[in-house]
Amino acid sequence: MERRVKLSQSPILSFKGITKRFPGVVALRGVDFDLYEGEVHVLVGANGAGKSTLVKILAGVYQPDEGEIFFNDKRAIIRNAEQARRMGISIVYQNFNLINKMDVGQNIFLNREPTVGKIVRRVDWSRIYRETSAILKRLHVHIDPKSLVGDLPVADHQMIEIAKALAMQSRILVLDEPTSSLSEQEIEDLFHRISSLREEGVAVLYISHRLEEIKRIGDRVTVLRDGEYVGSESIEKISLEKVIKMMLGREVEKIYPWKPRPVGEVVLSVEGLGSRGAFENVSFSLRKGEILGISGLVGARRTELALAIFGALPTHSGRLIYKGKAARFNNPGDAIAAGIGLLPEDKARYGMFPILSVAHNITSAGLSLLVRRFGLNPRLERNITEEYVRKLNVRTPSVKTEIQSLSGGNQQKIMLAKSLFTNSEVLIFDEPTKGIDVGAKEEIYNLMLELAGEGRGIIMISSEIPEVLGMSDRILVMKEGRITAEFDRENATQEKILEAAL
Amino acid sequence: MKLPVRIDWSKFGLPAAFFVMLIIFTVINPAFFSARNMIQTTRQGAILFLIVSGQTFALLARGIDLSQGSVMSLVSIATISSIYVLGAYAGSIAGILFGAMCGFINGMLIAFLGIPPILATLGMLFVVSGVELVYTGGVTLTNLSDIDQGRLFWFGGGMIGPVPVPVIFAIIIGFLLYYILKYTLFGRQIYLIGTNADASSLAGLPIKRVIVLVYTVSALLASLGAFFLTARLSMGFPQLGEAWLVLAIGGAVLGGTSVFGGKGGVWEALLGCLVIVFLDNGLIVSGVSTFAREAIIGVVIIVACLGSVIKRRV
Amino acid sequence: MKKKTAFLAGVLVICFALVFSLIGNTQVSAKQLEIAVLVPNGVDPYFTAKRYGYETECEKLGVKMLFYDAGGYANVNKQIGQLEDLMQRGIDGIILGATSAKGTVPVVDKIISKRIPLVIDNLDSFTKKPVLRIMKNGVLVGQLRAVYIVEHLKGKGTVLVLPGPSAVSLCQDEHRGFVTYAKHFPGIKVITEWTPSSPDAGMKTVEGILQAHPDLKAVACFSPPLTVGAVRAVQASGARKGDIIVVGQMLDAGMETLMRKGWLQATVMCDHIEMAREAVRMLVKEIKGELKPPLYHQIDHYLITKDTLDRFDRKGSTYPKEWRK
Ligand SMILES: Nc1ncnc2c1ncn2[C@@H]1O[C@H](COP(=O)(O)OP(=O)(O)OP(=O)(O)O)[C@@H](O)[C@H]1O
Ligand SMILES: [Mg+2]
Repeated sequence: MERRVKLSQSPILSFKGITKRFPGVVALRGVDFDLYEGEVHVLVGANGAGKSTLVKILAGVYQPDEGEIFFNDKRAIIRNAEQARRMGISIVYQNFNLINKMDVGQNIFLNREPTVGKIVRRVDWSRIYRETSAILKRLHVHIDPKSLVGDLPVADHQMIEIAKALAMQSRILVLDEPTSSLSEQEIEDLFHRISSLREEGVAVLYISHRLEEIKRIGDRVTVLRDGEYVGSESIEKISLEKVIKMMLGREVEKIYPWKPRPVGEVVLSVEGLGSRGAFENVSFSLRKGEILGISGLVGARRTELALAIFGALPTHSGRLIYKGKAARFNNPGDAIAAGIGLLPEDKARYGMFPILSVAHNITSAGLSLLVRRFGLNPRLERNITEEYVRKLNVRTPSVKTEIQSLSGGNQQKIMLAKSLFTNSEVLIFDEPTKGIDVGAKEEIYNLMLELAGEGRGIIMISSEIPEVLGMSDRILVMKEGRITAEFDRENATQEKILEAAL
Repeated sequence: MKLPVRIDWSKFGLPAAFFVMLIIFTVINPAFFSARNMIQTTRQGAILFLIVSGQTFALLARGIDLSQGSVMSLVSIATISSIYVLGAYAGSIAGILFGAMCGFINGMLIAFLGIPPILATLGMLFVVSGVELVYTGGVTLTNLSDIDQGRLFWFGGGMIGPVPVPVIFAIIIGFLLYYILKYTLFGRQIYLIGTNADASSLAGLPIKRVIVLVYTVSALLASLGAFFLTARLSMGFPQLGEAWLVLAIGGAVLGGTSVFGGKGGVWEALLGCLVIVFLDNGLIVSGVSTFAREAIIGVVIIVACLGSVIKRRV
Repeated sequence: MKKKTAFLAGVLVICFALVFSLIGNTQVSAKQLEIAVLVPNGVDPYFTAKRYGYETECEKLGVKMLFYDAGGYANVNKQIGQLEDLMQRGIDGIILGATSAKGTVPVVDKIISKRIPLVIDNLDSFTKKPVLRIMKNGVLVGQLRAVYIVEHLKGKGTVLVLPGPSAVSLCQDEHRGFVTYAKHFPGIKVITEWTPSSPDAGMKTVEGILQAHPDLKAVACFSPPLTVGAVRAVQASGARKGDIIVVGQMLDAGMETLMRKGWLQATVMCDHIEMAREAVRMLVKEIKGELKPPLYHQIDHYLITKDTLDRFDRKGSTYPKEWRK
């Protein structure tokens, strides 16, 4: 790929000394930053470094406390999202910004519906759906423009969010972690689109925790740490190790700290499980102390399998044997009581209580553990949750902070803490490291090893094949609702997994 | 997307505004701060507090209870009718239980048939008023025996030392509710379910049970309010609750309980109802005409609702 | 799930609609005269009593009666709908207590021009076409209260008037009657508080006013619930019986007790049940062509005090306990 950055011309957008404070945190501290036309500028930083805050300032959602923004060399104040859009800025948000009760077309054309008719201006629905299908087709996405967003899986939400941004004629395109739930093919299509936009002279600001993407798509990289600008570099001149060092202020020794460990007897076995319209005849077993990776493409029904085991999705055939006895979980409450924990894939919808505190979120699935003589014990709750916050290195002013004010990655960490809180013997992690920075990933992997070392069985569902390869003792591959392959750690390779998944 | 955090005026602003309001009314007419006026106003406040607290439970669970007013009317009639038969004490309990039962039915309709709260409780409103109409023919019920009347009146109009009886009850119930919301599983579950029902179900919470309980509590508290009011008036009035529903929702929202669920509590209920009751009383005592008074209270409630909506909007 | 919910909600709504339409309608029978009585607010005991009058008189005259309740003064449209339905199905005559004096004018005009005999009973509809009316004399009622209070205060003191809801024209008449009399006495200071007609509203208002005007000497109430509420407030204020004169409206069992015990000094009565009977008689005469509109018939009013409580003729204003609708 040819990369030409015309640094000689002046930037289309520059931030000068931007500072943004929230109660208890300084999200950005005097950040300088330039964006040029025709470049893909990658912004990296640990969870809570301030990347999304920067994006939201650009979007007019937040106003900076200090500093100035220059747009085409002119001082600009971006008051609201509408104004940002008029300036030609379009944004893919990290926490999607879609309305569940509307269909795909309505979402993509929200607030800028084309109209027909002279006297009575009506919304031109046929045009909306026509153009929506065209946009989706260009991205090789097969979604009916008339399906309700709320009925679609998260992976599709991300594609719709991207399609929405691409549907606008924009001069600046901002993508805040656009690929966290995309399949490899979708990522390929997206990068293709980004490249051609770059050729057309669009300035692209790209945020991701998947560092390998930096080299694939980026022209320049800027690193933020704890709200401070660390530096910018052109991609050719910098190594990934260097980027990580700049991000974390330390080196990551080993990305996947897997170690061999003793594995005990079978704790959970699934026999011929089937759920109508989702998966059929799934059988496998999980041992104590084992990490079982489940790989597959997005849409291979791994999430549904997890939900079915957890009692959140009805099954029509097969059975579970848990700790040597046939078990039937009619609802998640049963599963939790029996000692099964789930970290769901769609954490925003099925995990988070946005306006409640970090502490209340962590304890929500295991409230009875907090009951003492006089009911719920707040001191106990605070102590335990503070412990989790420390252990997972969550960046939050306190455990009383509303979870919605945390950065995306830190919210994910809280969700992980929530699934750990119930002290389960079997843990199902559905995409546990999505949106989490490299440093924190390392911590989470260590934690998983620690949990397995205590004799818990872990099922790790992940779309990142390197992660599955790096952390699992055994690997299952799913495709279209069936298990198509099983590998031991030693035998598994990326090629074999892909072959079974495709 | 998140909202910029702004100063939570409902936390500090409203109590401050409340005290300023007390001072202003006292300056306009010192009689406002007289012992007698405080006693009678807190007495009204105690009744409203119970009703607002009930509504707060429904709102916290991301629902609403539109049947509170008609349940109050029902309790008023049922209490007096039961007293005719059972005597003051047993009759009162029977009356209150009647009301709570309506809430239980509300809860069952919402939890098990999946009827949206606004429709289920609206339906209950019509059914209850209908039943009442058929039963009473609209006639007010009075003429209790002197003993019963005396016993009943004590609950609404009596005093313990310098404090009106309903106020004592309201304080005890208030602490109890505070404890329930903050320190019991049920209480916490209400907040969780009101904030995100999908996540609650995946967290294994007993959603249906909680919903049934929430509406039962809402109606029970409305019934208690109606009981104290009935006791105070010593009469069963078939339209007793009509005006109270608006105040119940308004008071809860004014205090800072969110109509979108998961936010609010007893403290907010207390604040909201104190502001309404003292504002109303202060305006009367200051000689403000009825129309202006209603308009002012209406505007205050609407502004509070707007505030609640804006705060929550993305 | 969503569909199921919507469906259930729909079924529920339809059930309610059915039940309520059944309450209103009864079966049509043969060749008897058939009239309809429409009241704005059936739960009001005033209308319960009147219904007794309508029913007994219809029975006596061998007329079949249909009874319609709008379910509250706010339900103007419901009442208009009821009237239109009646025109559709055909009816020999109508007695109307209007939900709204202005809002019902077009439909009432239509009824009159269709030559359906009509008697407006007490709650007026401001139609300009010729019609039979049987009305209370609101101004007189207000004046009677004023006369009693002024007399007993010897022309000096502060008086609170609770005229009920301000939108009801009868309440306005009563208020005007009170004020026009009281204004001749410079020593009398009148405070007006329009309130909904409920005991708690009455109590709350009187309690507040007692703070603002500790010198309050009398309260004039324009409905039974307001009267009871006012008495409760007076009792709680620590005043002795008679310190603050309360004059009420009509007389229900509770008020009678209060009067016997000395908390309620007087009340203004009318024979509203007799009035209902008279309305039926007027309508039947019009149907038979014996009476031609326009006619404006005003009924009498009288004051009851503790002294006359056991002596006055109750036939026109009470109904037997066994009779209940
Ligand atoms: N609305 C808010 N209220 C309070 N604090 C906030 C708010 N939004 C962000 N913050 C805080 O600002 C800091 C930066 O957050 P930001 O979302 O920009 O991080 P990020 O770099 O995007 O992280 P991630 O990789 O996890 O998405 C965090 O500590 C976060 O808790
Ligand atoms: Mg972010």
